[in-house]
Amino acid sequence: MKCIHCQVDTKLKDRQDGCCPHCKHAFAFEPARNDKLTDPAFEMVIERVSSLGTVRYTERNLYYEAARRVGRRSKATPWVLGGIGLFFLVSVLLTTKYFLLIPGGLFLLLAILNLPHQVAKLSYPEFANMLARWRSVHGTPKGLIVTREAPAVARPLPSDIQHYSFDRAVITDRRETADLLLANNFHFENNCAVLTIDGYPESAFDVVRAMLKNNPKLQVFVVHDATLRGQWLARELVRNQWFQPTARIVDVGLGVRHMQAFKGVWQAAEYGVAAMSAPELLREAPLLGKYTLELAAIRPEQTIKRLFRAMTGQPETGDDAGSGGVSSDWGSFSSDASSSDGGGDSFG
Amino acid sequence: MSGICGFVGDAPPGTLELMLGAIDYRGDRQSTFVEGNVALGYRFWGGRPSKAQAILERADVAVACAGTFAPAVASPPALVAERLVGGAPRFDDVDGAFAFAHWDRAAHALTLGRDPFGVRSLYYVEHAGTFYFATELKQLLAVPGLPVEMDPSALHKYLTFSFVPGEAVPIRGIRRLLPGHTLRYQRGRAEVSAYFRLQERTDEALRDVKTAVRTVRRLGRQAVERRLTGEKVGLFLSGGLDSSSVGVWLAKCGADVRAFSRDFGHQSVEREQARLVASTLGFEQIWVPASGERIAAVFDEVVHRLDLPFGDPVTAPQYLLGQAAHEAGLTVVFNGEGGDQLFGGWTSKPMIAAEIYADLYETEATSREERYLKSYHRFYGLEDALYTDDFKATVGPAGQRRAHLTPYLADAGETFLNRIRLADISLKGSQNILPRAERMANGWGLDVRTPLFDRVLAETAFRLPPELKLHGACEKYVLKRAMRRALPSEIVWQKKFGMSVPITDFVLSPAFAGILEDHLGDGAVRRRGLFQPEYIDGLRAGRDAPNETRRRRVGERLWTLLMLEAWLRRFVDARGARP
Repeated sequence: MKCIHCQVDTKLKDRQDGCCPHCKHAFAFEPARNDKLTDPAFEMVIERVSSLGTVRYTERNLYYEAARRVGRRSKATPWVLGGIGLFFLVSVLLTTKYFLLIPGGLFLLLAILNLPHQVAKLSYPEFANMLARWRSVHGTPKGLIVTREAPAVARPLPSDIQHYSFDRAVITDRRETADLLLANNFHFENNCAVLTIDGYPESAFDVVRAMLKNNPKLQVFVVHDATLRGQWLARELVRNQWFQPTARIVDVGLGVRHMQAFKGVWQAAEYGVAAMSAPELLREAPLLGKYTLELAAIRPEQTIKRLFRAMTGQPETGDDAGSGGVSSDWGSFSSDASSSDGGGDSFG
Repeated sequence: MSGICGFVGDAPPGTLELMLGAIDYRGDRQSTFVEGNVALGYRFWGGRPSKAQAILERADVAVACAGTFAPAVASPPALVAERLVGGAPRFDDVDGAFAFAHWDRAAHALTLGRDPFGVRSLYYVEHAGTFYFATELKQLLAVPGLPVEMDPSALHKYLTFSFVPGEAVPIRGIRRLLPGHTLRYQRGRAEVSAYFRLQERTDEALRDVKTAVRTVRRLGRQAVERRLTGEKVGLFLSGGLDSSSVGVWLAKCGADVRAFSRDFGHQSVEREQARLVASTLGFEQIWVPASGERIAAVFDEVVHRLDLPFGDPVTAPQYLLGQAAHEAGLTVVFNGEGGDQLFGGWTSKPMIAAEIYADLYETEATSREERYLKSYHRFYGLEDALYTDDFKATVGPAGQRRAHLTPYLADAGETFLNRIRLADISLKGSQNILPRAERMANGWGLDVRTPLFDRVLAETAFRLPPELKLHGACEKYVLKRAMRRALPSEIVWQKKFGMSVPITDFVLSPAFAGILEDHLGDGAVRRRGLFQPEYIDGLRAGRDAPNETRRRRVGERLWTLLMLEAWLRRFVDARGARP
């Protein structure tokens, strides 16, 4: 394993004390102890999720990048193995040499075992343990979003700010999504409010909600995971009258149609909870009763760019454009969802 | 148009002529005053109304004055002499676009002054015991023997702001007199003082929307009227609210107006709006094609006329507009610059969003000043990627860029919005928008008039409650209300289109390939030694930082670098020589 500090490659016997024999820096991981990644592999995960250190990311983003790396498999392998297995089976039919059934069966079994995963092969607790070790050895990864502790006394905002509003708002179902956008200055670049439906960030929530009501032409972009609850989010906002009735609401979140491109990083859904919360949607999208896909599985750079595209691709809201209804723009996250989003197996 | 220069002290023979010669495109005549080791020079166009036709010489004083006052006066230098009795400026109501030099013969004191908002410029330098001044940097560079050495700290600021803010310019030793200031030079000492400072003072009477709207309407018209001097005028009409409003007031004043509008072909974003405004107001309209080829053709002239590096790509199309106005036989043009700064354009919004969401995360930019610096979208935060280690080591201490903003953004003012507006006017308005517009117009002998930067109108704008500027998310609300019956509703209530120069397409087009390779090719970048060629190569290939969502930033950044290299060649390497 190469040391990430001095780049010197070492054998297991040379690093029995867990340190690089050359520069004496400690290793965070040791493949011989069944760690799922090496230090250089984890470093590469950090580089990829941060687009070479230019984009900030959440722990969930880092988790999915690591999961992709751990679950990495060649797309060709199952086809090759299956082909060999079939060759043996056809040979049995042609030659009646039944002992060939054994290797044929074995190869087919291997092909099945090598099919791409659906669910992430790295659990979050495993990842959290890895990250804790990485932090203790190498420090907090650069670009990882770390929230500040709220001060005991809230920072007062200038009093005139409440009179103004935003052109746009992103409402999301997850704090991590709000953190990703805010820490990457999405609000600053796009004059865009960012809130979660459950009141995050707390320090800004009340004032921003009040400000959103100051703009009758507000454009709202609803961003959510592919979950049953996520599919409800936009309708919930309308029902709870978050905005003026003339605001335009566009659902740009993830749905079932996005899931195929992100096989390997799905999560098992909490079926019972989901079924109780949204039985109609469960009938429409039964896959979401079994699996979910988090927005954090998409690389931060792509999430930001795709959301920007979704916003700027919308027609301007005119005097009569606000219908109070909800429209969807699924294309932004699906049209070319591919390995460049962190959706394919070729990553890592 | 016009310009002044001069010195106090011993200068090499012929210096005044060299300084006047450096701006020969600013006039066909010149006037000089020489007394002992004091010299004043004035270059101007003969026969233009409201302009001084010579240096004023009286028994007690000599005054050279470039530019015009608003309202116009018969003799601008006489007005300066009248208001500078005893050396103290009484400029409480003085407005216009002017720069003057006043020599008090008895007191042996030189006083320099600039207009309140900085349409006209003044630079000065002390060299070998002699004090030199001029309205353009290139005039000082013409002084024989003056050392010309670039100032990395000023370049560092340029790369953040896209213009050079403050008193320093990118040549060591040369200083700039700030707008609304005077400088008194006596017995070898220079003393600078301000006569004008915009301040926020909300007027309760203006909380009534109707009163506020009526006031803006009245003062806007008055601002235009004060700048009309009887000739046929041009209007640089973009189709946006600001230039259209100036058009409305020009029409109400009965001015004979011809509108000039930029045409970017299929990439024009406000063409239909400009057409609609011109037809609504009954103006003859001239379309000025602004293609990559045309901009490339005037690139060197633009750099020379700008005098300082300005990294906003709007300058070259402005130069082409000026050319069209000049060819149409005009000498005066109006523009709508200043509407965003005075009445609350879209630039306030990012700062409001940033203020609300500040301090949430570790390692983020924490100060209001840093957030403001980011809003310029040049190279703030990209220094590690762009600068070479050698350059980085010379740019000066941390905090020097923030220091330009602190006086405006600190909590001293009444409201957050107006603190941002004050910073915008004082930096972006007075040190970027106005001087560059003046220089582009003067490149063609035109006198530029910017009525939205009228002193009374601006002071009133800072008495308006801020919610009448940014009303919810509606920008420039009071100006929109003032214009809603005079202009079609699609002009008044349209959303801002933002940057309208398709600069990325221009600089990456074949028309610019030669200029780009010559100025920012690998060899050129290495020779200059300021920047890492790899970063610039990425921009030239159309690649920006992965977290950048807007393609136009590639062009804006390339243009900023291109202008800087061209400026260094013209002004540092060649001492301001013409192309």
